[in-house]
Order: sequence, then structure tokens, then C-alpha cells
Amino acid sequence: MSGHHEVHYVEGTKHAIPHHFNSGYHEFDASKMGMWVFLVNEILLFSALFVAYAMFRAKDPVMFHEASHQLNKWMGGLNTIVLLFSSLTMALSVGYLQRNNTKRASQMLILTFLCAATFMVVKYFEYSHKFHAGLLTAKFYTFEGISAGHPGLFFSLYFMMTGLHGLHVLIGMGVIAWVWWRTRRGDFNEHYFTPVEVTALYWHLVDLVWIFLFPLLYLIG
Amino acid sequence: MAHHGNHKEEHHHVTPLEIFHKVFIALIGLTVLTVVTSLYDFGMMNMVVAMAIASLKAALVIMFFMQLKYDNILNQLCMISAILFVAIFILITASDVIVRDNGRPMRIEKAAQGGDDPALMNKLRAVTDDQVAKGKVLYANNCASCHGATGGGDGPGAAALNPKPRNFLSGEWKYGSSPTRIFTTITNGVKGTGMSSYSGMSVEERYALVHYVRSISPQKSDDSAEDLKAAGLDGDFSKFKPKQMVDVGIVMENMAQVDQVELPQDRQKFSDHPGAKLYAQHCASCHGLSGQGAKVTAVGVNPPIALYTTSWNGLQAGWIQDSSAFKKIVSEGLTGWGKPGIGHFNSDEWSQLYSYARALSGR
Ligand code: HEC
Ligand code: HEC
Repeated sequence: MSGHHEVHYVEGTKHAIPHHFNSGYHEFDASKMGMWVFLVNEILLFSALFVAYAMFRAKDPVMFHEASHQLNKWMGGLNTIVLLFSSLTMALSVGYLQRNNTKRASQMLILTFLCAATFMVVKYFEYSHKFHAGLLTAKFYTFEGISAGHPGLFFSLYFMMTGLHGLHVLIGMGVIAWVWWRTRRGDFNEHYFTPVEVTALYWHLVDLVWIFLFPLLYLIG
Repeated sequence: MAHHGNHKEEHHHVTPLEIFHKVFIALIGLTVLTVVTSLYDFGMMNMVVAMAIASLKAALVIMFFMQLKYDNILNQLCMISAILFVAIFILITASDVIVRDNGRPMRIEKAAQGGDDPALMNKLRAVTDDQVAKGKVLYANNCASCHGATGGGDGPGAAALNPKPRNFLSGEWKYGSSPTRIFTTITNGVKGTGMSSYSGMSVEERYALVHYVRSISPQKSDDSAEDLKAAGLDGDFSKFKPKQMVDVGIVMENMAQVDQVELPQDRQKFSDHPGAKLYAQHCASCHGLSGQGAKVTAVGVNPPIALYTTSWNGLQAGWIQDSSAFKKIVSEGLTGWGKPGIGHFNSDEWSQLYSYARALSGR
């Protein structure tokens, strides 16, 4: 049943195992390791911004404290819950695929996608408020309600950190839509779900970054 | 199935779905906890508490959602090394800045700065009996020591001063006798003389003084068009920005960095004195290395702020004879002058500082 010549398929799917792997499990492990190495890169990418954050906050704690009050902690909190929930649905979609429940798995992927979209809508409202209030950086910082230090510094960090994170959310939405489409098409089963698994790892990392951004930006003092 | 020869040993880890649900509930609980703790102030611990909770949440996501707990050792090492490197980056880069004691005052005063409200000035230019009565009291408390109880320029402080304080009964004026001119003199002081700036007083108080001083003078003029123009009272008042309160703690912090401190003399006097080091550390940035006074411009704040301090050398002031007055001024600061309260000294340090400050005043 595993095809003719040297081509082998993962049981019950049309996925041909590349010849340099011993088995589908071998391939799965290699793909996952590739993803972990990528995630390490991602963490180090964000770490540059966390270092900048630590430096500036330690130098001007009072300004960070005041500037942080201009962020809406309820919107930030809502987005935290939305992302945590999307991590749950993402993990569940993998869980359902492992149990051969393709229908539930694709429902979970839709929910994950909708959460990501909700996150971006909330971010849109937050960003537009900041644009209108002049809570920006450099000469575009025109807000007058913060007396301490250089609040533009806080907002340049805010936009860089949440902007990079938001870009990850957008990319995640694209990838989630793609694996959802493939799940619907019946590409995956309990033996083969590598693309969904590595997408899930990526998506959890996006959640992970936000877990730190939320208290660091929204909940100072 | 040849390629699945050792199928029994190879399998995907399957986590029970309830575990995902439980982890999610724990994550929501921890999120609520961070928000709630952020409403309380634990001082330095705020950051530690928030990061501890975030790390716990991160650990749950990594272990269970990402299933690193069940993953192979290679992937686990990948993640652990990433976390280790982030910790190293942050801790070593920020190590100096985090542990530095930047000498923040225990209490932070607010220093007023910015212009006076021209609309208010315009209103108060006209004399009323009320103002004169109020000015009389203010005068007795703030000006009589030099200008004399009756305004004759013969107060107890006058003897040591050159030029002498103005005798208001003479009718002679050096800097103009119109209300707005006198207001400007009181606001800015006269540099290089005993007449210091009283900009720390409110506009009302300064105009009350103006009207009192004018009431005792035999000769005075009214505001001319030039006087008004010089004080910015001729135009449109709507562009005026109200006084802003500037956090002196920030001023001092920024002063350690980029600001210009004009210190006329760069060697500390009596540097062997036991109080010299304390003084250099906590006071010299504003008072000059040897108490000679300084102009301190903090360009690191927005709007920029400037502080002036007067020389202590030969100064006549209550605190020079009275250590408790000294302690009060230094620990409480002087509101409106931009002088912060600095009070974190023990009793030995207090007496060293006091004796050093006296030495600088020439006593
Ligand atoms: C430490 C002593 C001292 C104190 C206190 C003091 N002055 Fe003077 N004042 C002087 C001296 C000295 C001059 C003369 C400056 C000069 O001749 O250039 C002067 C000048 C003035 C003038 C300028 C008059 C002119 O010729 O134009 C005014 C107005 C004045 N003082 C008002 C006040 C008021 C109001 C107070 C109280 C808030 C006050 N002063 C407190 C020492 C003092
Ligand atoms: C942030 C700047 C700043 C620092 C730091 C500072 N002061 Fe002052 N201090 C001022 C200002 C401003 C005044 C009021 C102007 C003046 O009288 O020179 C003042 C006034 C004083 C006076 C009253 C002077 C007088 O004319 O009667 C004393 C005494 C004094 N300071 C002591 C100290 C001592 C001691 C320290 C260090 C522990 C200190 N200050 C640190 C800004 C500062």
C-alpha cells in the first residue's frame, strides 16, 4: 500500500515521505526541530527590544510610569485573554487531529483565526487613539499631559515592540488560514499533521511574547 | 509498511485535552492576578512580581501548549539556551543602571516653572485696598529684613549689603516704578545683588507686594505702553501656556547626565572636612562644589528648567546659626524654588553636613 518504487506515503494521507527520512516520525521530528531553531531566533530578535526596554526604564522609571498610564490596560487585558484563548484553540486543533477528528480540528483553527483578527481590531483602536492624542515619537510626540522626562522614548519602544508583535500576528493569521484549508481538504490525520504542529509552535510563541509585553507596557505601577 | 518497521517505539505524544483546558484556566487566573497586583504598589517589587507571574505563564505555555515537557532533549536545550541568552543580555547590559543608586531624594518636590499668566497679570495691575493690605503682611515677612520695617532701606540685613537695599521712602527707582516694572524686578531679582528672585511667589502675592511698595513711595508712574510690551502684556493672551509642574526628582536625575552646570570654581574647598564628600555627592550639583552657587540648566526635561542657587560665602541666613532650621530646609526642600527635599542622612551625617555648610559660609 505504500506505493511503487521508492515513494512511501504516510499512512492514510497523500503525504510522500522525502527519501532522506527513515519514516514519517523521523520527518516530523526534523521539521519540529527546524521550527524550534527558528523560534530561538525569534526570541533573540525580540530580546534586543527587551534589552532596550530594560535600559530606558531603569534610567527613567518615573517617565515610564507616567507614560504607561496613557495605555488602556483594559484593552491590553482583553487582548491578553483573546490571545491566551487562541493558544488554547490552537493546541486543541492539534489534539483533535491526533484523535483523527478533522472536523473539530478545523473548527478550532477557525476560532484561532478569529481570535487573531479580534486582537488586531483591538490594536487598531489602540493605535488610532495614540495617533490622535499625539502619543508618538520624536517630533510627532505632541501630547502635553506627561511632565516627566522624554515620554516619546516610551512610545517609540511601544510602537516597535507591539508593531513587531502585531506583524507576527498578521503572518500567523496567513499561516493558520493555510493549514485550516489543508485540514478541510483532508491532508492531515493522526499520523501526519506536521504543518499544523509547527504552526501551533509559532503561534504559541506569539502568545508568549505578548505575555511579557502586557505587564511591561500596560501595567507599570 | 517496511518503513514503519519500528512503529512501536515511534509515536506522537498525545496530551489529554483536559490538560489544555486546565492550563488555559490557570493562565486566565494568572492574568487576572497580574492586573490586580498592578493596582497595588510594592515599590521596587512591582517589576519583580509582574515578571514572576509572566514567567510562570510563559512556563505553562511552553511546557503544555508547546509540549516541550514531552519533547526531545535537543529541542529542550534550544529553548533553554534562548532563555539563558535573553537573561544574560538583559542582566549584563542593564546591570549598572539597575543597581545604581542615583541619589534620588526621598521626597520629590514639584518645582513650578514657565511664565506667569498674562491675563491674570493684566487684571491684577490695577490697585485695590485688599491687595495693599495683603502686600503689607507679605512685606513684613519677606522684605523688611533688608528694606526695613517702614521701607526706609534700613533693615537688619542691609548693613552687609552693597548695593544697599532700596529705600522706598526716597521715591527713587532704579528699575522703574510702574506696577509692571516692579513686578518684573520682584520676579527676576537683581543679579549680583542681595535682591533675589521671588518668582516662587504666586502672581497674586507678587502684585500685592507691588501695590504695597508703591503705596509707601512718594513718587511712582503708571504702566506705559513700553512697560506692558516689555512684560508681554500687549498682545493676545490666548496663546499662553499655564505653569507646568516639573518633578524635581527628574531634574536631578537628568542633571547627572547631559546638563550644563556652570561652576565658577572647580576645586572643592575644605575637601578634607568630614562633610565634604557627602556635600559633593548630594548638594554640589546645585550649590556648586564649594557652595559658591550655580546656574543649573536641566536640558534633559521637557520643558527645560533652570535653577539658580546663591553663594553661601558670607551669607546672612537663619540656618547658619540654627542647625534645626538647616535640617528643615534640607530635608523638606523649598517648594517653588526647585529645591528638593533630601533627608536620607543619619545623625552623624547631618552634623557633618551642617558643619561643612557653615564652613562654606565662612563661619
Ligand atoms: C536680602 C535683602 C533683600 C530682601 C530680603 C529683599 N530685597 Fe529688594 N532689594 C535688595 C537690594 C540690595 C536692592 C537693590 C538692588 C540694586 O540697587 O540694584 C533691592 C531692590 C529692590 C527693588 C528695586 C527698586 C528699584 O530701584 O527699582 C524692589 C522693587 C525690591 N527690592 C522689592 C523687594 C520686595 C518686594 C521684597 C520682598 C519680597 C524684597 N525686595 C526683599 C535687597 C533685598
Ligand atoms: C536640585 C538642586 C538642589 C540640590 C541637589 C540641593 N539644593 Fe539646596 N537649594 C536649592 C535651591 C534652588 C535653593 C534655593 C535658592 C538658594 O537660596 O540658593 C536651595 C537652598 C538651600 C539652602 C538655603 C540657602 C539660603 O540661601 O538660605 C540650604 C541651607 C541648602 N539649600 C542646603 C542644601 C544641602 C545641604 C544640600 C545637599 C544635601 C542641598 N541643598 C542640595 C537647590 C538644591
